[in-house]
Amino acid sequence: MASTFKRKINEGLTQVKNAASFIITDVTSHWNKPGKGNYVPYKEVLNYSIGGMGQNMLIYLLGYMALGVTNTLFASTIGIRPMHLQNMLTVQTILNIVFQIIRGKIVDNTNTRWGRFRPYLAIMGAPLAIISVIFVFLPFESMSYSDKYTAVFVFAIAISIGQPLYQTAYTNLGSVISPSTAERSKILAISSLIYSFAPTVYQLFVPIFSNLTGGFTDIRTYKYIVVPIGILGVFLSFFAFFGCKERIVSSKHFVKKVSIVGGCVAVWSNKYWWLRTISTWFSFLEGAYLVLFGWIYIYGTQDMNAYGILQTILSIASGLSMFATPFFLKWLGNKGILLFHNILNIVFIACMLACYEIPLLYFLFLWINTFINQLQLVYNPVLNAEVKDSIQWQSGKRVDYMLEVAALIGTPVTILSGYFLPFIYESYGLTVNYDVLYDPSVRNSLFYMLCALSILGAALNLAPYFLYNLSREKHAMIVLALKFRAANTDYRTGDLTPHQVKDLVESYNYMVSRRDAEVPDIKEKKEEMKAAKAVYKTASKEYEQYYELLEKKTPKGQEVVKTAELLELEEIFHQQKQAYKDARAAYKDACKLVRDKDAIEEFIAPEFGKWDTPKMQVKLALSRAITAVDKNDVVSTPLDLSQIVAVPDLTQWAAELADQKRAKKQAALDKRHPGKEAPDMTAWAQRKAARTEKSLRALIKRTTLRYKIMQRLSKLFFPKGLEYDYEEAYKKTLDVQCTTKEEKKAQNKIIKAAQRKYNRFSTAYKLYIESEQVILDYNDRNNFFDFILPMYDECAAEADRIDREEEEKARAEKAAKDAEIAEIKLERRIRKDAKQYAKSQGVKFDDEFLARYKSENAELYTEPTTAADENPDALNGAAVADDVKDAETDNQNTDKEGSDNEN
Amino acid sequence: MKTKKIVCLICAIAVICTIATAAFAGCNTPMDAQTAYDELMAALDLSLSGDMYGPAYDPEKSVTNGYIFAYKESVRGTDMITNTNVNVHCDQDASYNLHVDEDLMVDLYQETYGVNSVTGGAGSKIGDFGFIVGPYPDADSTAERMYYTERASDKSGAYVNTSLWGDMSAEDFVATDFFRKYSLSSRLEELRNMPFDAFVFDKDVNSDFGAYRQINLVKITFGVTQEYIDNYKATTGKTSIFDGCTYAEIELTFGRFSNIYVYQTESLDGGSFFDLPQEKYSLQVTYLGKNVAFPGGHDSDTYKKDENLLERTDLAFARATL
Repeated sequence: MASTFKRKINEGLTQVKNAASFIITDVTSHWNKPGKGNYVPYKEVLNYSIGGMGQNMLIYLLGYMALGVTNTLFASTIGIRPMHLQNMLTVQTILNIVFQIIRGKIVDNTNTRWGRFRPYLAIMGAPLAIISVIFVFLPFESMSYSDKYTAVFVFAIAISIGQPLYQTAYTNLGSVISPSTAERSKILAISSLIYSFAPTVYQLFVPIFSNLTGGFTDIRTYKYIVVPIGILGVFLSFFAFFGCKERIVSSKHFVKKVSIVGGCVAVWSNKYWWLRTISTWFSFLEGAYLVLFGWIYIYGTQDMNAYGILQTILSIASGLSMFATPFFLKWLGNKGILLFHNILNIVFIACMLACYEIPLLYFLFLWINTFINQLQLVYNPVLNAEVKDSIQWQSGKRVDYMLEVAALIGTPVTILSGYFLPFIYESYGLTVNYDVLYDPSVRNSLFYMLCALSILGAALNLAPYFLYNLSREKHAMIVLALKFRAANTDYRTGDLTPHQVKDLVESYNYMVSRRDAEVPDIKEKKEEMKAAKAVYKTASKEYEQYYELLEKKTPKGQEVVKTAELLELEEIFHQQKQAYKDARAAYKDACKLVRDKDAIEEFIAPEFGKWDTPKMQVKLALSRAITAVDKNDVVSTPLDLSQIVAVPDLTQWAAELADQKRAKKQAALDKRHPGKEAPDMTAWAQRKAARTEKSLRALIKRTTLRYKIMQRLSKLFFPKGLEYDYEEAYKKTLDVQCTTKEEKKAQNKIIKAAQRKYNRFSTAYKLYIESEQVILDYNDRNNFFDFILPMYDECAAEADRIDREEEEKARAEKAAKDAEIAEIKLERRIRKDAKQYAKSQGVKFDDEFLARYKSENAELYTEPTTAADENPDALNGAAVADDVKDAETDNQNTDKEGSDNEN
Repeated sequence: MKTKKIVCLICAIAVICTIATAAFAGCNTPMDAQTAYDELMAALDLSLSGDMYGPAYDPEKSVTNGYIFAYKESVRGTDMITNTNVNVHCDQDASYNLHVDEDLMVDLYQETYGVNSVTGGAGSKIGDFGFIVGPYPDADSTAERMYYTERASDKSGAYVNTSLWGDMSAEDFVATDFFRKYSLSSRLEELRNMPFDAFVFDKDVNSDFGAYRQINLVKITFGVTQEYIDNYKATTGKTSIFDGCTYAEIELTFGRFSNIYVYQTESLDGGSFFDLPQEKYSLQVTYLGKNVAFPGGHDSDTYKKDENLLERTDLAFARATL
């Protein structure tokens, strides 16, 4: 046992050693020049990371100038009323809508020789730092309240205008530092590891040093401790400006824009988006407890050393949480993690409330709660991506940035809810003078109230997630539905790849197998699992008891001799363990099968049958009627669509719907209450049919109106009629390659002109374009079954061939890279040997000497290169071989020196 | 399942509505003038029940043994702004109970600024002085000391620093006539003696006048009659804190006096469209202040010993209080 452990440790150590050796060689050899297939040398990665440290430090300073009722500098130190801070925040939020648009326009139109984002790192850092420095050095102690109020408002707004430009410049630089996704993610991982060192240090030392300047409620702490950190940050951020490059690769693909209104409507129609958004509206309440940790140490114990250390320990929770999130997500699923996070929040905030008088115990619960809270840093982007897919499935529109625009609908809620906490603060005596928090009677009553509100907030945050049912299975089916759509279109345009076909058909086959599979009795499976577990536990107990018995009989220091009986028990134990595992897997699979079937019914069945629905039939009829008119004749052709397109008779549809619904209800009842009859759904279906009929009439009316608008706009924008295909012309301008700066400039002008014309065209003929798309989609609807499915065998073989080729290519590239590293190593060794030799000879070492040394000793150094070339995969072996060669070279050098001396 | 969802939604909506209603409507209760006045007087009595030198000192009610309070005061005169911070502090245990008889410390600090003739804001600092009194932080010593620092500007504008120390306990310091002038009762004396008629609550005079209760906070906005201000000067010989006042705000929290702000409104346009309220006087009271520590360098030669510190008349504190 011990020897096995030792052996494994040694193996592990060797692997670590080899990996470290590889990393060091890779970094040193690609310090100034990127490795093969990469774009960014390690020197640039370091510059980016140091720049990140700087950015982090300045943001730390600016964080103290951010408006909010919990801001220690504005509230506690300067003495601005919480309600007034909230008023300022409201104004800032409203102004920010305008500034956000202006900033977006500025950045999108920035095109300097330093790039699009880097200039803002250079030009925004210093002014922001200067504004902050001026602010903290204002004579607040002798200013009246209105002067303080004005100063805080002006400076905070000024900072909030510029800060996003500076902050996003760094993150955006990360997204364009390399065109390779793999390299980019590697750089971001390395840099975040390096620059997170800065907050770890200052979060520890700032509270400790603040003891010398009177703590966080004394302005001197900001003047002499926080400000220098920010200024240092400005200098460090220049590393990213001077030491990095932007490598934007223009996309060859032309992506149609989603209009703001259309995008927002698509987002607002999605249930999952609403549930997630409503949940975030309660964050203001849930976060009420966040100030309490600071208050305990700043106003309660007034122990800044402990505060600094604990803050550092707290920051570790975030890192660990990010690391753990993927496991939690896998274990709990989407809804599970949302419920898990929010329920535990309630539990731990309640624990904090119960033990606020014991700061360390309070901190323990805060730490655990922070760990739980930080899970959302990773799972939020994952779930947001799923919601985006769901929106795309529902509306056919791909929305990315529009998600943030659509969220502006919550601005009034955010502004109003923002007043709630200041109201509570004031009601509990915290108006202007934050020194009241030194008084435990005031502090504790606020403490109770804020904790209680946090628990309420967490509960409200949790409530919408009970309705959230976008499971992984559902998302998988959404993705499959989207794949069908993409493949149908790609087949028509000829963009279908063998891999796409292979992947899609395999996914389809899986879906069919799940759809057709019979659901076993879940209860029975559960019972089987429980029974297997009981048997396994008994076997385990018997085995352990017998082992312990033998262990007692065995003299100390000796290993237990496994008797036949023990071996038999061990065998039974392993068998039962496996049986339990199998039973558990069967139970889980049965549960998953139910979820799969639900997901297929919700997303795949409607996808295949969507053209049979009354809505799509009417849409198709409308599209046909519109596209029957030539684009150039639209102006002169009036269309009364209500006369052309009739609402279909929905009687049959309603009857089918009633049957389907009844069958579904019956199935659900059979599971829970066998023998009970499902109610007749005819009345419900008729009501639905009436509603559908009404909405179809509205659709026809709306389309008629839109047609009239199209007529007017096309007359206004294209009085001479359409001269050419504006979309095609715009696409062509995008594909022109430019080499010189002048060419680029000229081409940009052409692109802008073409884009303007295309935008006009797509605005005027929006209805026509949409109608054409509907007809195309209808024509493509059976591409998968008619053409793609029969192509599977051929495409699978082709995909395998491509994979094999790529694998070989990758292997060859790796071999070349290894050979390159080996060559660099050898070159370094030759140089080292030559230097030593020159030193021993008392000769000046220069390039000439090195060249002579190389030519004279060429035969000594030929073998390692050959070995690396012959066996490039054996990188670890190469390292060992290097050592051997080192020894050989040393011997040979000694011989050489000897012979030289003789000469 | 559907029922569960509906119940969830109804609960969520009900809670949101309750919070919204409670927050923005139901919690602000208006008060009439007499009730506001009574609340103020009761709050002043309760606040001063903890000040052993105050007229309302009540050892039964006081949890602070007649000592503990802290306040920040700012007085804006025609040519000078004076800020005063007083903190009489004691230790508290892990359960936040005050230990009044242990480690009592006093921090008294006053600074004076000139008024900038152009902006009307604070000008350069004229000078400051401060006392820190309490047990000497030496484990082997039971001595209590008083440290005094002063920064006064001479005629040329250069600062002259003075650093002295003497033996004195915080209890003795609090008992001096000098400190009595900085007691909480001295600061609230005028308010406590103000008759109801001196207050103006009439909304016709100013629409902001009035009082309301917001859970534990009572906010009173009022004006003061000129008659009272004149009478106060005639009877006491002192200028009222409300002299020149356009309006004033008082905040009472948890039944105690918390803050008072006295404003003088200056019109920027000669009319009433652009009015700028200037804070003339403010007093912010807390009933336990920040921990007090001896000044940096107290154990070095920077401070010279002076046993008769409080009797000296050449120091800033003496001039300021004379």
